[in-house]
Amino acid sequence: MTFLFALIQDAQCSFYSPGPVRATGAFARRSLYVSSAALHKGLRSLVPGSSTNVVDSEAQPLDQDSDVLAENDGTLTLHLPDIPTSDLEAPSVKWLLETSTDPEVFLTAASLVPQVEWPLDLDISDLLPQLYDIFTSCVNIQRQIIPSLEEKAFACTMALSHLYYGRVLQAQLDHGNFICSEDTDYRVFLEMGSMCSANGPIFNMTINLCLPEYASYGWFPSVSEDFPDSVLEWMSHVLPYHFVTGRVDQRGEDLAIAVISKMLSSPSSPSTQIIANCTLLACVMVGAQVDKKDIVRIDKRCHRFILWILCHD
Amino acid sequence: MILCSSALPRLKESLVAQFQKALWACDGGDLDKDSSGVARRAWNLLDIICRILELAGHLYIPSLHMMRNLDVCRKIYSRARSSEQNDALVLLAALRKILHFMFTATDISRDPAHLWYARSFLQGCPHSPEDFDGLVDYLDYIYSDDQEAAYDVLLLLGSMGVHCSPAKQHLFIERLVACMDSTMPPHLRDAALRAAHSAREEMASIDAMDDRLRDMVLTKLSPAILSVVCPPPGATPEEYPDRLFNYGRDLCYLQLVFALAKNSDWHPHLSEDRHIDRCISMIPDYCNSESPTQHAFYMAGIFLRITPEHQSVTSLDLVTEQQWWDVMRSAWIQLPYDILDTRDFELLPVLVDGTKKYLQISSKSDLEKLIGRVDQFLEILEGDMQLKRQLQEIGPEMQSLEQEEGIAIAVKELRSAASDMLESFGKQLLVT
Repeated sequence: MTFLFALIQDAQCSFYSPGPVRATGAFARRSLYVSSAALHKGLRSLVPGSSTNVVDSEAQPLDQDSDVLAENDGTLTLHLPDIPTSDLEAPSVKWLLETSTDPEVFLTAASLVPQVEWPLDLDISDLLPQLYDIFTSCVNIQRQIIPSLEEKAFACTMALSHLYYGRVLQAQLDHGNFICSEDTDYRVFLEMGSMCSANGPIFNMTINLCLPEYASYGWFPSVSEDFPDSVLEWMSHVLPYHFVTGRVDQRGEDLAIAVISKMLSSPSSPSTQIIANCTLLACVMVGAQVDKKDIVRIDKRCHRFILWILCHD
Repeated sequence: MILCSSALPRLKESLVAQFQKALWACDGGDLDKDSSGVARRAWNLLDIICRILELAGHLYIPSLHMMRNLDVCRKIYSRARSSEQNDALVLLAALRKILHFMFTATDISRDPAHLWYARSFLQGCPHSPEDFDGLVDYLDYIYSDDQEAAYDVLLLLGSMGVHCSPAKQHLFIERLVACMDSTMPPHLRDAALRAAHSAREEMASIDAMDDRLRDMVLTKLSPAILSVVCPPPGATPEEYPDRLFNYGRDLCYLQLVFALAKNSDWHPHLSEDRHIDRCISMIPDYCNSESPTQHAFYMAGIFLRITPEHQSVTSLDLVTEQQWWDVMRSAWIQLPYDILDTRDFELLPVLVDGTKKYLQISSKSDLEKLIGRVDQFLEILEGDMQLKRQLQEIGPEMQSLEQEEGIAIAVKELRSAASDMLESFGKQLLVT
């Protein structure tokens, strides 16, 4: 309850006064305008289903309270322009990550990063270094994560990895230097990986996007590892990035097949979302031409179209 | 959450199309030539491709690429034959997965319960019997060790309704007989019957076969076919519960015997091998007055074709007049739905004569039903003739039109004979 109020207050406050907002121009105004409602909606729809442990414990009361608030609190009834929710979620989360001073709000926003769709035309170039700064603020002089800030560091690295995928697809640059001006992305991920082993498989995946030229082998996690379902699902979403950008090796291919097999062979029938992810991944593996927009789309059930060459063969 | 229903089927369609292309690039499992990695990935995806397609939802994709897929299979098979044992096993496993992919992509179920209804169409796909010779070689190679793979081959041939070339016919029939053996699992025996059904026109022409082949067809295949549809003599039904009444299998069997009965050289063998007895025993199941089925048409065809020389077919003497009438009447009530498109059509003049012969023992309600059904058929037939006349005005001579006109006249005669009979019922009522 208090948590939600903090969020709403944060959003409301920013709406009425420039306060901590750094973003400028029309985009910022739109973000501001829509953010509290989008967030309200986003939190309701995304957090309860989230597997991220950061917010799970609060998910239920949050959900109930937000309904009550929606009915009783007049300040929430913003008249939104008719913009698809997916257009609003990412700017709202981005804005929260950039502006919020409340640690709980930041944690929630970071945990939402992999669950919303990040449009390719949304500029996230500042967000990556910023998340890295926040991560380093959780690290002590011995290059260890401060125990009380573990949750924050974890959420930060997860968000950073996820956003990095979109950044690579946007920029199409080799051996990027997107995160930290003093070091290559490859070394940054290696360093974060050594400090945050809980996110090991996720770093190992992401590192393959920024391998240096001298690297003779990739870092794809081994297929024999027993990944939790949330990691498998995330992998099924990001693996297509590797195939469309050519950043994949035999291990990556084996991993892709193992991920598809594990997700689709479970005795309980998999969700449409997972089937869509796996089908898209298989398409990309065998060389189907896929729109970048479809790769970044989280909800691929609403996948609009795929160009397939063969039908016109 | 809004679901765009078109998304997943389109993804599936794209996957099938792209996967096909990659598969063809595999060149029979020779991945060394593949520089892009796409063929290798397709090869590796074979393990899971069917599962993806099944889960991505049902969408009927008529495969225009069956023949090309078969060519991939043929190449893999020949590579397997020339490989070391371990490689050969890997290749044969891949071959099976490709067959499964073909089934899944064309919505053919491997479930034995659906065997009789599995159809895949080769329209738009030029093909010749030689194209299926490779499958016969493959069947020959694996049938004794891998019954499931043998089932796949027979299911494929049966569902496509195709047969091999004369060069492989002997081997094919030999293997069909082996797969129909009573020691084989029931679904394999059934699949062999379905594959024999696909080659029924070829089996019928025993006069065109060499002695060796004819001998095998008559002495091995004919009894084997019967053993698939009924328990051995002296066995109790309890011992063979799956060999009795089976709608799909019985229809397949009757169509097969119907095709064989077109050739009078077959008649003594059909009788001696007890096929006629088996057909007679099916009369109560499929020609009852409540719900006749299209089996009746084929039974009528078999009996009527054999009758002219039935001195040799003593079992037909045991068929009562009432049973004859039941068969004739049921045949009209359930004519095959595709009768105008197949050679089954040729039976109609014979069926008209046969039916007239038993009209006098029919009941009033039977006659009313018969007339109603004959009228429906005439309506369809005349519509078809009308269309053909129009086509003929702008195009080439339609040969079947003349035949249809002859049949229409014969059927109308049957109709007037039946309505005369019906009127006489009325008169009888008045007299009494």
